[in-house]
Amino acid sequence: MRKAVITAIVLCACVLAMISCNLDATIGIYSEVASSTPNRNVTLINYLGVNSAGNHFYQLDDGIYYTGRTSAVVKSTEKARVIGSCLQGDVLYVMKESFSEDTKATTVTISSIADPTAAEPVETLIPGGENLRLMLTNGIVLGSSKAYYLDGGTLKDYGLDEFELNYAYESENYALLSMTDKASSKQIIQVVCNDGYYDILLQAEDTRTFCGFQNFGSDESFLLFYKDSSNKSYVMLFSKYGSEPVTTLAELKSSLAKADTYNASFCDYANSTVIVKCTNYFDKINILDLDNVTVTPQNNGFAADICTADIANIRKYKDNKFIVGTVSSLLYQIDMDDYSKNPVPID
Amino acid sequence: MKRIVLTLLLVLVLAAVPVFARSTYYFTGDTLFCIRAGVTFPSFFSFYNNPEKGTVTFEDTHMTLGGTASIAYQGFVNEQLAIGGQLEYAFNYSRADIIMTTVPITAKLTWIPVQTGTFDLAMSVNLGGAFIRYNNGKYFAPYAAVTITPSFFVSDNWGLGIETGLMATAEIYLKNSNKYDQSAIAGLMPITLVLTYRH
Repeated sequence: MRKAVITAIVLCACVLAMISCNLDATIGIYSEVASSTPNRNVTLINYLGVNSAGNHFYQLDDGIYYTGRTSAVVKSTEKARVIGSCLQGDVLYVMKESFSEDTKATTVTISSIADPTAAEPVETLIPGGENLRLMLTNGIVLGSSKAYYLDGGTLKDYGLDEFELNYAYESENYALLSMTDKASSKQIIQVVCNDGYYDILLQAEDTRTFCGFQNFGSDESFLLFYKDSSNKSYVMLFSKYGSEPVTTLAELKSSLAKADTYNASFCDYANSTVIVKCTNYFDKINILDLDNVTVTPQNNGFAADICTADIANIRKYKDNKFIVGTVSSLLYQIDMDDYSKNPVPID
Repeated sequence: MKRIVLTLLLVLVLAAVPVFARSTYYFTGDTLFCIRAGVTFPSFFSFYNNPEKGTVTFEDTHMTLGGTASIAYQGFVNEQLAIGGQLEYAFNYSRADIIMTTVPITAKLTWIPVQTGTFDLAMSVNLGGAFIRYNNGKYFAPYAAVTITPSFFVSDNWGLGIETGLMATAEIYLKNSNKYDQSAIAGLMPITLVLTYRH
């Protein structure tokens, strides 16, 4: 009897060892649980930046807040929904979509708040702009056929040819615009800078949908990311601001290592590294030249915990410190001077 | 938390010592049908291939108190040993409020050294596999549990007990896997009520 039980147990253990397998996990399940960030019952849209008093501003789905204040600076209501915001110095800019019961029309406006930390913040309407749709956190404003930038509290037109905006991504002071030129009906990939300059990166019929865009290096070079539908890997394209428009972009001889999804990215300038947040890892990308690229995944140190979080955006804070805005766990500070340091939550 | 559980285990063991005198109530061929339900305390994750992560315990597992329920059916192979199977469902939430479910399907061996007719002290070992699911991840893992269950029988057939012990699940990645350093053993500590029907 005892022999039979022992045999059964040994057989059971052998079978389990053989059939135990990871069916779908992108990271270890227990690793993912242990790395989870707390749910703060919020939906963060964007981290906006820090003012001179050290208050970190962020936009939630119900309004704009800053650290140390529990009520919204600007509340998003059913009649006046906050659809975009940016912080430039101490001035907060807010894009709102309002619905008028009288005219049954929806209008989008931008206002500035000179002192958003005041007890009763005062909003001043900024005139201009046609068919406004989107405000990026770096102050670039997009209409359905025109692009603008905020300059000293006024809205200025880049003067681009009329286009139909497909989508836009931002990286530091730049925005990548995918647009269809109204005159030629061609899809153009254009980069605009929030100081008023712009540049066409790619002027060709191109059916690719880019999912990420990152400025890197000191010479205004860019990485563009898209997912190759045939091999499912993420392809990185290289482009440079100020170059002649081209019909194809140079492709890096490496793709993201741990990407099921491209989530967010930033550039660690001190270490000449682009860092991309994938599903459960951060990929560190070092580019010496197009053929010489190393991609190293990391989910410890600066990536601990936040590697499993859904990230809204990442912005530089000061020195080589960055603020990571997570969708449901608010803000974390990471220090890229030491990759082994864990992220610190900001309350 | 750790102290409470250890104390509870100690009290249960000490309580059983005076009545360890051999006496049997069950016969070969008797059967036990158990339904149990209760809570599970997250105990530890041991990332044994990753010294940087090491072992995290209790609240550092970033899991919350969970729940468990199971049914088990066993038959006695002699007066003190019963063997059978158990189907269980356990859940815990991570601090991201995402549910992790564990569904162990196990063979169960129970030794009942103390059996007076109205009181049983049972010690069980479960071995099998568990389907684990969390977020987008799924895994079928080896599973083992050891439990101790003092039960009081209010009639010839029906008894109610309290059970505690340790449930362990292993998420194993081999050396050639890129998730080798994510290999882990997870421990949960259940405290459950057990309703037993014996026949």
